[in-house]
Amino acid sequence: MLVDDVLYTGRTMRAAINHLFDIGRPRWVETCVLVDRGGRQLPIQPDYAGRVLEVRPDHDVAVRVPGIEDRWGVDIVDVGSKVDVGSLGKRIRTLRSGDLGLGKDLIGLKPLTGAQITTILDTAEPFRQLIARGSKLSFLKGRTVVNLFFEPSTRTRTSFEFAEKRLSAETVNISSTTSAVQKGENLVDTARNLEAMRSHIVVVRHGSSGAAEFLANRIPSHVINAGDGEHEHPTQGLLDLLTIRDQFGDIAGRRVCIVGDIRHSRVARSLIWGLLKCGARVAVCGPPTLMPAGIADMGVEQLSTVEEALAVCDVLYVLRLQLERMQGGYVPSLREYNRVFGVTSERMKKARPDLIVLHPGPINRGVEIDSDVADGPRSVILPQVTNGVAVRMAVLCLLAGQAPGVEDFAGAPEELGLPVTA
Amino acid sequence: MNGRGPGPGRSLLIAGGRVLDPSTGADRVSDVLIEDGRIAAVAKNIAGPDDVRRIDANGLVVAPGLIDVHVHFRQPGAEHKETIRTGAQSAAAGGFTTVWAMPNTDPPLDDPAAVGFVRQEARRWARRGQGGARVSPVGAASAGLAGKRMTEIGGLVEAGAVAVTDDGHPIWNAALMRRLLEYTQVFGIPVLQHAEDMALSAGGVMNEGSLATQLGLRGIPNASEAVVVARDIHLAELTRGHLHIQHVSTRESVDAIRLARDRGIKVTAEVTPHHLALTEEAVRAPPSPAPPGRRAPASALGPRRSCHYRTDAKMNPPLRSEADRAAVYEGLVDGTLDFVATDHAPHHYEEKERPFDEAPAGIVGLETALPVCIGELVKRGPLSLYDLVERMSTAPARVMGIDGGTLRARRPADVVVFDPKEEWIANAERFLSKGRNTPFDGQTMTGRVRYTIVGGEIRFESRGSE
Repeated sequence: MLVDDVLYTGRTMRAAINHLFDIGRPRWVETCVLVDRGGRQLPIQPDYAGRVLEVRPDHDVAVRVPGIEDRWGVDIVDVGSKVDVGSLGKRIRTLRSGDLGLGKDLIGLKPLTGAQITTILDTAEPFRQLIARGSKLSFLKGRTVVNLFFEPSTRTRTSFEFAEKRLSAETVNISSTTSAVQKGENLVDTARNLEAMRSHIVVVRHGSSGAAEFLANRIPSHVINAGDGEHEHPTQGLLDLLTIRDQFGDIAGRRVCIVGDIRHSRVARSLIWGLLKCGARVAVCGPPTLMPAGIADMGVEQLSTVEEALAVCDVLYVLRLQLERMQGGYVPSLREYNRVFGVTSERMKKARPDLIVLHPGPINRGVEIDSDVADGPRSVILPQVTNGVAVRMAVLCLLAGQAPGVEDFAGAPEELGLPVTA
Repeated sequence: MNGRGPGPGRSLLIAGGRVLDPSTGADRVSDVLIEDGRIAAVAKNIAGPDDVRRIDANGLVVAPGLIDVHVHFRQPGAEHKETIRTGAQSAAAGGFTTVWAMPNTDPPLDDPAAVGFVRQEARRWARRGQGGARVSPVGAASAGLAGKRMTEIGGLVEAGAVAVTDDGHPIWNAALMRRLLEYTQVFGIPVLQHAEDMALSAGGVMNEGSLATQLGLRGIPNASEAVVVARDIHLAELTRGHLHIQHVSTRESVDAIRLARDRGIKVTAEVTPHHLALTEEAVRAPPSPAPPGRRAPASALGPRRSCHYRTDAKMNPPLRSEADRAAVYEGLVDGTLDFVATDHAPHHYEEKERPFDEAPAGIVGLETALPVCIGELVKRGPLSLYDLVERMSTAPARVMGIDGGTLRARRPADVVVFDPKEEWIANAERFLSKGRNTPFDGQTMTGRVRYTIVGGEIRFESRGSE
């Protein structure tokens, strides 16, 4: 008896029968499947089927089995039109060649338009499916990407590296513990060295606001800001936007409240610009000591309590409380912060029913957010992480087509995005 | 360029210029005769001795040499940024005949030997024909500028110190400030205060407000200056010492000083050309296009694109909001703020070629001060050239007790001759200062210095339009 989870075109079953006949001559063969979804292309029928369904070709069937998943179940997932890597490559090429107008670098979300942001998110979606399929792509084959991290980062750097490797880029990691900066080299000299080595893309994180722009103005490589001081962290903002869009289908008209240390947060600044450009209503909430001067000028409301935010918002975005803020005297203690501004399960009882909770990570459990909220049904913190890789793949592809100094670039075969395996 | 003109005993005749001398109320076309390093006569149609050197000042302004009581010449210790020689020459190129050099050098000017060195170094170059403006050292108020123990002010004054300050740092300890305001009365010198509450400004790199928030830069609130100004006014009232507030940047400080002056408290104040002319917006203003003939930028990218973090607009106190700019402007016009001082703060280009928060604060100002003030205060403002000369020469001389700021007979012949109308493009590459860090680079200037005469000697001369 041949057993499979989902019977679709019949090709897998045929291949299995073929294999049996290579081994010998079975007296008879029976077939058993959990789900028959229809859509057969070969004369194969199940002898036993748990469910018989008619599923459209643009949907996927996912079967859950106890022991692997938590319980029995069948999910029908809309995957849209199946991702065609070749046409994705052509589309990116069209966008690169001028339609999108991102320019050389991605420094922040403030300079972008709502349409540009939407296009980046639209481009990230097929990448997310390709990630889920485990595809390796060749969009950046032959390109060198330098991940230049002057501040410690696990999450962002890993996410970028995943994105780069899935796109077949050559990656070089330079981090603060190993770089010449520790030996007193300044950023100008670092930039000149990168220029001399002809890197195509530089992903930079630096503790000074404006450092990414500083680098971008001095080297011909594409510069992607992975966080500069307290200025912007655009790819984080994009992945947050994608996560919110996934949940609600649309960003426009949604009410989002960012809770916590707005003053020192580049994540908050990028998210505020991105949300506003996509038509959301944005509020901020936190201790007045952690509110920057003139925040209202960015076009956001200020809410004084977490309760108020929970009552009116669709999305609660909880910022990490940097532990060094204690030394600065911005908040008296972690316990006090949790008491007054922590997103606790008690407070969550008053939340709107469809409210979702985001957090850029890493989480200080029991400080800005309680564990049962972070791990609870409203949390979309893990989808954020997956979206991070997809968004970064989209940004890398949308920027990297215009590398100056690479003469053979236009029309290079890999620019068409021919898959290595798919 | 320097050191030409008559030596001792020879004479110089500046003929046909518009003589502006607020110390005598003069504003008329006259000749100025200089003999033996002093003003000999100011009158019409002076013939002068046979061997007199004539300067044709037709269409030019002849005024007492400008005075800047706030410059940083970096020597000893940071000669790559500026030296006493280049600083003094830069001052002369800007029309200044006397400058006061701040003590935040390395080592600081906190002992008589260091103070004496600055004075002697300036004189040494002048003797060699490479002099510029007169350079008077300002002594440190506290040992090591550490804000704890008062320096030996008597010794510093003997060595040539004309005032005391911890500039670069505030005199943060109120008790020390009180002692200084009391003790300096023995010598009749002012205490110059860089008013800043370091706890309030900690980590700040530009004006606090929505621009800083959007750029992700930490802000310095107005209160950081104003609370110290208010505190020190109370101490000046208590002690009757001479308190001088440096580089006033906020409307709150102007209000406090105005109120104090109304009450008869002895507080004086200065304002910089950049705080009169610019706001915090200069931080994100694109640099002006390079003047013709400028060397290409080092980057292969050609002209710089967007720049929101212009380190040439970083200084302390920072450029403030438009309301503050208007307030200090009004303060200078109505006399609440006594005069202009540049806070000339040269830095090496490499030090400014860094991310904003890593770059040092300060800009050069000597060679653009006069034209910037003519443009802002005279051409586009309510002051006459006469008023401006008062605020850049006569007032600082009077307030600080400097022998200058006048064209009276027998007084030292410190004179500036400038064309008040000539327009030119500021080009930092041509500064005599070693510093190139100025937000005015590439901008159109109105008014240009033609001659700067110090003690009867031509220390700077330019030949009109270039």
